[in-house]
Amino acid sequence: MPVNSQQTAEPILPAASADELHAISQFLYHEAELLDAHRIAEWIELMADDLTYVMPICENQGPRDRHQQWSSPNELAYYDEGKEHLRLRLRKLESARHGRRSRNRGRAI
Amino acid sequence: MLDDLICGRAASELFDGDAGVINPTIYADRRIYEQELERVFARSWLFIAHEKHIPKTGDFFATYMAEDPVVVVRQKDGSVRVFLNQCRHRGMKLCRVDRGNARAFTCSYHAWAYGIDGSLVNVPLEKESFGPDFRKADWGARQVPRVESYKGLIFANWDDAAMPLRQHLGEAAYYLDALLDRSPGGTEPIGGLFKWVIPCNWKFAAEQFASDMYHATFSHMSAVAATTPERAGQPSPLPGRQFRSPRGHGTGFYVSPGFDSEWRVPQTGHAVPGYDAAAVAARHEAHNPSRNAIATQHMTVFPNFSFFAGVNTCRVWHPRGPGEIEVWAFCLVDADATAAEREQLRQAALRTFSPAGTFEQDDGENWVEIQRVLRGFEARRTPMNAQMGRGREFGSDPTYPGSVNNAYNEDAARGLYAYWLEMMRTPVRAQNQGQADAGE
Repeated sequence: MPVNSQQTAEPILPAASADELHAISQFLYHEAELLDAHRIAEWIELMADDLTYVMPICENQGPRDRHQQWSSPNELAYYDEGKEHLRLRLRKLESARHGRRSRNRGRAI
Repeated sequence: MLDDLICGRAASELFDGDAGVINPTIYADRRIYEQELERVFARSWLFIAHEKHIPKTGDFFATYMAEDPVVVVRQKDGSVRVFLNQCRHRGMKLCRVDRGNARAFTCSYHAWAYGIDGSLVNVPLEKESFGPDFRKADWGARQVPRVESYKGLIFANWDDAAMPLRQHLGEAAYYLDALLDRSPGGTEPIGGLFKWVIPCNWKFAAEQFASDMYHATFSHMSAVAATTPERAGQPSPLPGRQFRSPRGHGTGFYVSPGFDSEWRVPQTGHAVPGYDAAAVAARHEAHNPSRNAIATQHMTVFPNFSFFAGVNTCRVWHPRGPGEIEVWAFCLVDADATAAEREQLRQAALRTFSPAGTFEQDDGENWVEIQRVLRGFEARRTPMNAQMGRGREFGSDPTYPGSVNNAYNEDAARGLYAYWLEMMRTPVRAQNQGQADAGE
């Protein structure tokens, strides 16, 4: 979600111990390995069931209207979806037709 | 008199409507593009904004007419003005934010200030430094002379002798009504405007939305398989129609009452709580049954405004040279829709036809690859086939007006290129008279 510059600057995350940071970085490497290996279904199952991810639209606004530079929750957004949509996107990737398009493209390049 | 030559080539060599053959250099040649800016875009009705994007006095929205930046502003008397977004002093962009509400527009270079009507109202050091013959009245922002609306959509035209917008739409207005006048309250935009770049010629996008139901079965097969697998890989069994306008507009659709309101559900993976697809269809049916039967409608208003009514995505393909477009897209919703209907439509639109949408990415992939192929010298002179439906008689339709055809067809594409070619062949001076004479 957009960061409101009016708020006082506080750390985004609570302080983590070295062990916790190590566990987090190992988790990120694990995600990257699953995605590199196209094990996308397994990667999706790492996500929380109530996951939502949002990428609002940003507009170029003057100083007076800067509070409305991000699209609001009832407006359009690049992404505004959850785990079921990750699965939907995977079904698209795995459909036979999509695979054929991808392989054709790979050969051409 | 029409020119026989366009950029040194015989007009019939660029597009042959009878044969159904396109010369792909029309998508790649810089000189042809420059002539399009002058002969097509500078005298066509171009989409600007929805009336409800700028409801209050001083509300403005910065957009483009082809490559020309313009500002559209709501006036004190409720009318709308569109003027070039260019200071008359040294040509600096006057308004540098996307939208808002203004009492004046002040240039950031030397602070020349313009009223919301575009008139020049203040010049710093005017009395001290400018001569006695300097008159602010001579240096207002350049007005676009013609601004007209159709059911909420504002269009503007640089050609002061252009035929009225309603006349230019002709029978195509009926098909715009399937989107704009489907419900008693009309439409309004959902907030938010997508802007993204696709490296392809504007005509690929405009033509596809005018005329191409054909690709959906194949290009979008994986998106269909992921959402409505029972329909994947098969041409629709529903009856379909395509309309070709004599002025370059085109549309295609299936005839299936209530289809669109149902189709929005699988696109989001679930029905939004409280969403009642049957209630939407019943409201549309009561308002106008024949328009309610229009389903998954694609349409282009010549030259570069398009929509797909399945999820009500509306977009302008702003040209950026022969090989690039900026897509500006928003979503229209019935003004009398319930909160659940709005949310269902919003989610369906951004997950299908938006920069990250599952359908949109299929289209962009095709257009980008075609444009890359056209970097090839031989590719640019290898004719393209646009013959689908040629020599076939599909007859007229008792319900739907105008030249109506089978949905799987390229008649509307041929119509778009035929009108494009006519504009490209029409010298600028003779244009005004020609347009005035070419009535319905």
